Amino acid sequence: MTNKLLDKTLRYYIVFALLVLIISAPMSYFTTLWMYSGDTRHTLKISKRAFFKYSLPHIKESDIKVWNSMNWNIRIIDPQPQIRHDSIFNQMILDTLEHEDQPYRVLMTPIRIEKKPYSLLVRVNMIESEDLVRSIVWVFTGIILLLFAGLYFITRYLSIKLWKPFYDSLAQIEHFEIDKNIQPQWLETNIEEFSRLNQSVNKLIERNIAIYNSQQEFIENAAHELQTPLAVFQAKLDTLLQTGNITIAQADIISFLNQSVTRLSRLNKNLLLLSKLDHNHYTENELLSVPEVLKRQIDFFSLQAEAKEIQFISLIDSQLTISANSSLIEVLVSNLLLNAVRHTESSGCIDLKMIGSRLILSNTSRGEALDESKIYSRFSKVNPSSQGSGLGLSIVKKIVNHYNWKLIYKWENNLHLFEVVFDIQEKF
Amino acid sequence: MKILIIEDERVLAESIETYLSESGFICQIASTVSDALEKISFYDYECILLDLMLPDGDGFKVLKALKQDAKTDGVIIISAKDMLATRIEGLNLGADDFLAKPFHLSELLARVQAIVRRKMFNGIPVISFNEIEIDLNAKSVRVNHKDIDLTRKEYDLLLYLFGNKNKVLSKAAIAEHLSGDMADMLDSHDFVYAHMKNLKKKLNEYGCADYIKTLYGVGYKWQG
Repeated sequence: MTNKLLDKTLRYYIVFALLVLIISAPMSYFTTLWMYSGDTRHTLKISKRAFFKYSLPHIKESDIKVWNSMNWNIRIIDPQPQIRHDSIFNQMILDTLEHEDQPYRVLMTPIRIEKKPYSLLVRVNMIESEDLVRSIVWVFTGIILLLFAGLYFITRYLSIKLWKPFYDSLAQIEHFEIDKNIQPQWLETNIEEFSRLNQSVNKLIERNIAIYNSQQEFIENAAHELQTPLAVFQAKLDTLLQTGNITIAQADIISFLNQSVTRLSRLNKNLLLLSKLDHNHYTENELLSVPEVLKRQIDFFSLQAEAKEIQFISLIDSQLTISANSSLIEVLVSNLLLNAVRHTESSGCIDLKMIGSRLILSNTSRGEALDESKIYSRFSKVNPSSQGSGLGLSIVKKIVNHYNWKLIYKWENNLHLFEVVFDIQEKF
Repeated sequence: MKILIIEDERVLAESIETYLSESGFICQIASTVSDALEKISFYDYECILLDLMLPDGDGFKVLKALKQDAKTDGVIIISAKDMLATRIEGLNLGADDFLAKPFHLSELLARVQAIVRRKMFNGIPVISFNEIEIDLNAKSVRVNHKDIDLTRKEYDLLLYLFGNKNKVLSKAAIAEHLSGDMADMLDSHDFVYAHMKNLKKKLNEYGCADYIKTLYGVGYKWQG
C-alpha cells in the first residue's frame, strides 16, 4: 500500500510530537518541582536568617509563648536533640482549618535563648505543588492539541497550495499520450524542485515526440518510396506478358507476382493509413449517410461473395447521418466486409444489418471464436496463409476509437459477429 | 498523337513508352521538372503523364505552369502519393485523372485513350471497328447496326479489351480495371470469367467475329 507523501510526513510529525510530549511532560514536572523545592528552601533560609538577625537578639524566654501564639509558620519549640544544625524535610501536618493533612516543607535548626537550647521551626505550605501538576497537564494538553491542529492545517495548506504544481504535473504526465500531439501545460511554480521536474519531463517528452515523429515520417516515406519500385515491377510484369509464347506455368508465376505486388501495395497503403490515424491527420469531417456508404460497398463485396459461393444477405433499416471523414468510413466498412468475405468458406453466409446506429456484420466461422486480445493488434493473423495484411482490424479499431464509437466482437451460434455502434452524440 | 512521360524512374518511363508506342502513340520522356517545363514550352502534347515526386521539385510545379498557359487538358497524375488531399490538389490544379502507383500498363493505356478520345472526337465520340460501333456518350454498343444490350461492366470490359488491342491482359489487370478504386480489395479474380463469358456470348449472338481470344491460364486478348 502506498501513502501520499504528505500523509507520511504528517505521520512522522505526529509521532515526533507525541514523543516530545511524553518526554517533556514528566521532565518539566520534575524540573518545576525541583525548582519549586529550591525556591521553598531559599524561602525557609531567608525566613531563618531574618529571624536570627531581627528577632532572636530580642526574644526572652518569657516571650516564647507569645511568639508562638502569633507566628504560625515560624515557631520556637523544645530542643530536638537529634538536630545539630539546619535540617530541611517534608512533613504532613494537620491543618486545623481545613481538617486535613497538608504537605509542608520544614526547616529545623537549634537555637539558644538566654543560654538555654531551643529549636527553631520554619515551615511553608506546599499545597501549591498539586495545583502546579494540574496546571502543567492542562497546559501540555493544550499545547499538544494546538500542535496537532497546526500540523494538520499546515499539511493541508501545503498539499493544496505548495504541492499543487506537483500534483498537477503528475496528473498531466498520467494522461499524456504520445499520439495525441498535446504538450502538457505546466503550472507556474517558483519551487526549484518542481520546475526542475517539469523541465526534465518536458525534455523527455520532446525527445520522445521527436523520435515518434521521425518514426512516423520514416513509415510514410518508406511506404511512398516502395510504391515506385512496385510500379516498375508491375510494369515489367505487364511487359513480360506481352512477349508472346507464355506457357501456362509461366503465366501462373506472373499471376502470383501480380498478387504480391497488389498485396505489397495494399500493405503500404494500410501502414500509411495507420500512421496517419496515429497522427490525427483525419480532422476534416463531413456529413455522411452511413446507409449510402454501405450500399456502395455492398454492391462490390456481394459480387466477391457470389464468386466464392457465399450467401450474402443485407438489411438496412437506418437513416443514420454522421459527421466523419468519408475515406475513413469507407475504409472501416470495406475492411469489415473484406474480412468477412475473405474468412468465410464456400457455402457459408454473410449477414449485414444496419439498424439505427448499429452496424452488425456476422459471418460463418470455422467453428471457434477469435482471440479478442489478438485480433486488433497489428500483423496478427488467424490464418497465416491468408492474403490479408494483418492490419485490417487494427485499422477498424483505430477508426472506431478515433471517433469514440464502439466496436464489439462476439461469437454466437458458430458466427463471428462484429458490431459497430456509431455513437453520434460525441460528435454533434 | 504525342505523349509526354514525366517520370524520374527511368525503367518505368521506358516500360510505359514501349507499351504506349506499340498502341500508336509517340512518347517523349522527361525526368526532371526543368526538363519537363522545357519540353512543354516547345511542343504540344495530347496527353501528359505526370509523376509528382521529381528530383528537382514537385510535379505540381509543372501542373501550375501548364495551367498558366491554359494547357492542362490531358494531364494524368501517376503518383506514389495516393492520398485524398493529393488527388484533390491535383484535380484542382487542372489534372484530368489520377492513377496511383503501382498500376497496370493496360490500365494506363485505357486512361490515356479516354483522355485522347475526349480531346480528339470532341462531340462525336463514336469508335467503330469492322462490324462494331461503340458510342462513348451513350455508352452503348452496336454490332452490325443492331443495338446490343450490355451491362455496365460488360461495356467497360469491351472498351478496355478494345483499347488494349493485341495486348495480353491478365485476369488481375481486368479485375482491377472493373473494380476501380476498390481494386486492391480483391481477393479473387474469378468474377472476370463470368463477365467475359457473358460478353463473348452476347457478341456472338449478334454475329460479331470472335475477336476476344482466351489464352488459357494467361489471360485475354483482343485480336484484330
